Amino acid sequence: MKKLALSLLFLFQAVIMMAQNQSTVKGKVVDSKSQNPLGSVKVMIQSNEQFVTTNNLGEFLIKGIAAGNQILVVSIDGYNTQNFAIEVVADQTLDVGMMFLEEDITSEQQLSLITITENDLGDDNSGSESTAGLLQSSRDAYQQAAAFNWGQARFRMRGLDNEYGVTMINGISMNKIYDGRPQWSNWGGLNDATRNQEFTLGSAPSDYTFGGILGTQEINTRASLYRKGTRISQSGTNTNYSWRSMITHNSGLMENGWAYSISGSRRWAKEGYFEGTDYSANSFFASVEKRFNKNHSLNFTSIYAQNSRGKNSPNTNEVNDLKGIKYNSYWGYQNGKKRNSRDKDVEEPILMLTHYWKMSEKTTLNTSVAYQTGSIGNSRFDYQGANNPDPTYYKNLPSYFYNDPTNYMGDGSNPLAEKAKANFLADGQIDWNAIYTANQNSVNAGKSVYALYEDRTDDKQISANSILFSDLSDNIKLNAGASFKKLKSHNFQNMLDLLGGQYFSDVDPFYSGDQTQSDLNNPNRQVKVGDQYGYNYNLNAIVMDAFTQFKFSYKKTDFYLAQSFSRSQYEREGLYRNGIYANTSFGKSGKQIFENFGFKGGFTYKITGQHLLDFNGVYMTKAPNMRNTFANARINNNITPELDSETVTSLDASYVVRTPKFKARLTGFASRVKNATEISFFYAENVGEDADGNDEDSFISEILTGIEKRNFGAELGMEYQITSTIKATVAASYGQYLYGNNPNLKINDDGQASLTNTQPVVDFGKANLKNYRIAGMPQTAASFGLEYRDPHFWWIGANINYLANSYVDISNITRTENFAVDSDGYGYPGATQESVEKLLKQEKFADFNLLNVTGGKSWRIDNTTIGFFASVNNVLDTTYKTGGFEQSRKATFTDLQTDNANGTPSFGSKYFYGYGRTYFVNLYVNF
Amino acid sequence: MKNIYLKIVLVAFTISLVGCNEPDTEIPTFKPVVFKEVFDSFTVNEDEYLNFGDWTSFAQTGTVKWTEQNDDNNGYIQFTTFGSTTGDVTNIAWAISPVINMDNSSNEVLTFKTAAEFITDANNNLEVLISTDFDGTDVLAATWTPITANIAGLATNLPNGSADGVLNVNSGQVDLSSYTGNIYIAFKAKGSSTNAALDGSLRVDDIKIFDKTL
Repeated sequence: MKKLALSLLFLFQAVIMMAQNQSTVKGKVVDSKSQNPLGSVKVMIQSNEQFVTTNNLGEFLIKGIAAGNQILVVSIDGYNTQNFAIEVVADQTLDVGMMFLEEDITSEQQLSLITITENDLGDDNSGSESTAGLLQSSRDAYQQAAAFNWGQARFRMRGLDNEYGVTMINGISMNKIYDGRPQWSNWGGLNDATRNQEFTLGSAPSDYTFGGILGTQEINTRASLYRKGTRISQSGTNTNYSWRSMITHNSGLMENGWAYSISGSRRWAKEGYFEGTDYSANSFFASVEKRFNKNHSLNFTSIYAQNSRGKNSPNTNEVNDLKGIKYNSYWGYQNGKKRNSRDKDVEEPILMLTHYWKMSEKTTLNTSVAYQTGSIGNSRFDYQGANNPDPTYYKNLPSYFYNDPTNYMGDGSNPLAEKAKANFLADGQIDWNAIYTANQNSVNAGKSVYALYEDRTDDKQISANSILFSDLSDNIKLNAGASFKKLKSHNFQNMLDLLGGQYFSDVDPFYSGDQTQSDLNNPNRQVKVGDQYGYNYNLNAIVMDAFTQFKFSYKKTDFYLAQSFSRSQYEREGLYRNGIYANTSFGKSGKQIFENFGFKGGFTYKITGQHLLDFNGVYMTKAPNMRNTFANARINNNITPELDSETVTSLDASYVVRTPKFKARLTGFASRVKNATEISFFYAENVGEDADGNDEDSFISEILTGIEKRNFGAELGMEYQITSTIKATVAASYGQYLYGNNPNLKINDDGQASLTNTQPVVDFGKANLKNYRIAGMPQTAASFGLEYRDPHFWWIGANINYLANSYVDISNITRTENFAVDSDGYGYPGATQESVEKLLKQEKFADFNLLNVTGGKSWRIDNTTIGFFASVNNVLDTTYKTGGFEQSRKATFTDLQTDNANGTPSFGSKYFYGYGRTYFVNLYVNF
Repeated sequence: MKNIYLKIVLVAFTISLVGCNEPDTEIPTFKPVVFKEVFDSFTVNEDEYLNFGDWTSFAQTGTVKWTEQNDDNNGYIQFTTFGSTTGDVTNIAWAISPVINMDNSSNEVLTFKTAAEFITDANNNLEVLISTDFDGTDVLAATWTPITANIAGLATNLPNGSADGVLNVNSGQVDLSSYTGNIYIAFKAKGSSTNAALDGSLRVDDIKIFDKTL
């Protein structure tokens, strides 16, 4: 198979060139208001997507155009895209003269979007992360609705996780090798600097990469592409932050061949929308380009985005009913100030050098080298021989007392539950003072029983890639690229705060003897602030890939073919000799190598210039993420059993209409991911078994292999210019995103590990997941919007959205035989088809509607633009769940049934909520 | 030509929508039981008089009742007059299951485990009975039919006791397929608080009614 991939890679090199009539179009693009020339404007022939950019004088010249009726598409960020119909005569030059572009005042909307993408809940829970970040600069009516209107509800296009998309900066993929997802906060707050973007949806061809099945996003930071000028903006909002200040200056390409762009921003909140969520982010960007001559140009980009924020907790219905949806269990008062115990700190600067080489009129080679280093830290409590400090720990909540029949009095009252309820209502936050007191009163003087640590990941990654763009003939374009990434990821527990104590003991008191030691090479350590402890290992990866893509364009049909090959190599290197896995934790795991390939193709049939049919298909294999390669990476070198590459296929078909007044796209899509692997960690009851058939409790890692996911559905986007000032948009997405099979479930139970049992894996057989819905997003969404643009530079718009069919993330282990079958081989008492079905029915969240209103105005004074943008999202203040997950702790029928008997389960599902009514106001000055 | 493409798009779109009926999920296959009681070790309270779930505990003669026990993470129930200071010449105590409905199953059989320790006299014994007319409170007003099964007693006595919670006598399958409606299973033990020859221990655990053909 590998050879086949390679030979196909080169097959298309031998395509015969064809000659055609040579015509030329030239013209000049200016700002409609100021009449100033506009540089860096993209001018494209719609029929074959051939394009050039204007120079500093706004001039352009396109050669080699086929004769006949053509449409010129003139676009640049910040202006309304214009289509000009032209008639090209063979072998002649057509001068279209001055073309006027009108400033797009609604582009300010993009700045409000970032508040959603930054809130990446994805790292905290079941992977609920909207795809809105991908779509920031999209122009398509459907994609705009997906980003601006549905993003707040965690809508994901085609139901796909961000790991199936590719986000690039200057051609370098920003998807992390660890989990395949981009870390948006690496360039958060730099909206001005990351505005030059190209997006492709699904498997449609990108010039920069083979891509995945979700889409690609290429952010271009080439300094000469930024429109000359300075921009200062100040925003206020009540979402995850309160204030944002941003300043950006772009030089444009100067006479001496230099261009630079610098940008800085600060965002902060003492408390965001949810309680106790503080926010502080500082971002800087600089890009410098030197054009040496017509053919060579070098660009240096540096991005530094530092982000620190307090997280908010997912809560059970019991907790939210008592405390409201803004309640957050992670914070408590310390010396009169709110202190959050779970902070996320991200600081991973990027340095990048790009060489642009115009090898000939027809061929360009872009080469980038990037280095990224820094750290991500997620803080939380550690404690030994002390109570769980979580105010929502199940023993603190009324349900714990309601669920124990012995707590009821003769009159049916339950005073203990009432007391717990009163306590929780009165306080219900972390008691920092009690924690400090407990440490001061520690039995072993100076030894903290509570400490605050962070799970740290310190990455160093070198990336390099080259992308070739070549016009092989008038009809054939070649894109080819190769990339290389080398990552060293150091993962460890880092002690942050001993909370009044002198040291913390690096042992695990749940075990005994040698097994208590996190590092037998250095046992019984006393941990001080800044020390590494608990677990400590490197993940090393080398990933290489190459792709070629041929695009053919003819009068009636365009088509493309692309192929890719990649090699991923992962290795774990244990820095500690863990006591539970004395012989399989220290040193190297051995390299895990995955070789993968992909093929894709598609074509566009032009019924007329205004009506198109478009088809795309892809078949590819995808290496498992590094995260899922090691079964329990924190403490041993074990490789996930039955680990294999995923097989990914996707098809879509679209009907596209693009008339000057009416634009529409209707797409049907289907994708399938096979053989996926997922690892999760939790504390479960009744998954192991003791001598007399009684099950035991343990902290386990759950390994799900051979997962199949099927996503299919339809998308509709329509935009109609009712009058020159009023525009209506309709967007809809109907999908069905399901598990397609019953994957295998295994449990890694450290409690059963010993020197002779180094792979304590228990096979639970099939998990009956087939036809359960994939969680994390509404599977149905619809939007209707109206927008009025006044010729006097103000506009107002409103849209109403319907979101439905969002489901809870199910616990996998409760879908195995273990759930219903007792140790005697028979079902648990009371377990019948009906009672088991009832308990295992997937919760569907309530449908909801969101009304959003936006508007803005700008003034032009000489060469200065002053503008104002405001939006109110969720005007009706609708309360809605954006996601949630079943807790896996009650893993058997009897336990789950008992826990749910009173309607107040101690281990019910936990939920995330969307924002209620929020606003975003932005004032800006451009000069 | 263009019609073909258009049709493909429409077909693809239609498939997308038609496929959108709610597909059913399935649960793991298992053999359901009509009734089961294992006296879970997390739920029983060592040495307390039986007050377990909807079980009925009744002392017909004397005041000694069945107790809950837990040895080596195995819970069970036990009747003994050993160490009793009540002075009852005769002790008769019942442990009666919650109501069991036999209408939604067929081919039912009953199995359970018993054990006898320190039994020296056949009058220190255990009987297992079934009633279809017990009202849930008045034990003696109901009709109780003894069943035939392997039940621990003098013949299976463990003269040195069994401290690890293992019950050694399996009842074998007792055919209950002729029963419909509600039934109760009773464990009736006899002993004496004054006669040391009648102060052995009788234990019951792992009571199960299921369809033997499943």
